[in-house]
Amino acid sequence: MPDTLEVIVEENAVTIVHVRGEVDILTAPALRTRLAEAARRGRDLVVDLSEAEFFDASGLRVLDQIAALASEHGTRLALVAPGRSSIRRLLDIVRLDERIPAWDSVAAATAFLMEDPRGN
Amino acid sequence: MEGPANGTPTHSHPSVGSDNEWTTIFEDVAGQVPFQAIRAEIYRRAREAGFPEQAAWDLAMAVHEAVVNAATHGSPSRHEDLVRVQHRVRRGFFECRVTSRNLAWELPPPGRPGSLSRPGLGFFLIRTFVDEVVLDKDSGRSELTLRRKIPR
Repeated sequence: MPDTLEVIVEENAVTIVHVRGEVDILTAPALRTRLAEAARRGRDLVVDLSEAEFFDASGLRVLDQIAALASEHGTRLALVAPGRSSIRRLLDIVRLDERIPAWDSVAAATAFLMEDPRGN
Repeated sequence: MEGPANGTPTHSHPSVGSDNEWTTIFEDVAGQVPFQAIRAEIYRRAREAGFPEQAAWDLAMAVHEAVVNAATHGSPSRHEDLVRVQHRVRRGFFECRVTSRNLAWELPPPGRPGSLSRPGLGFFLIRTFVDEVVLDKDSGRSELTLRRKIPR
């Protein structure tokens, strides 16, 4: 994995994947691999983008693909991207936040999944 | 996003607000394209030209997507044999030109792609973040020029 991207997986009540650094066409494949592993487990998944410094179309495609994979495996997915960040704005521009709920913090995303585990 | 991360060849850069000739930020004929360093340099020059942080980030993103498209023609495994990135300030616009020998380069129809996994997402972002996108083909090369008005 290029050293511009760091992915840390934390197993708590839900799986939390922290993404640090820059996600682009060179690093997106590694991110896709790590997220796919997590999405296949069937445990609710939080993808924390709050420390991602750059995110391009390749990264958006990864999230789109992971949303589909998570759905296949019964994994519920939530993103963390602070409301004033460039990445949150990007999610809004491509309307990905209509498909995957985005929250300002890991705590808020985790609470969303814990409080409403079946999405009701 | 800050300055160039890993030795992108850069040349003298323009003084703020004044017109200048094209300067080459990057040129490659065979090897790896340093995407991170190129977008960092665009961000730096955009800030220097007077763009606020968010707009400079937008410009860096737009140029980055153009360079990715030029370098890979949509596939990371296929590298074109020429990628050149140039910049100038002209008539109040921040301009970047990305050159490729990829003559199959075409502008997709405007609008958000129906699926993020379909082709066209990169150009949708480019069009979102700049005022004008022009594709010229001449002498066996494609040149994509991106323009955005510099704030007063």
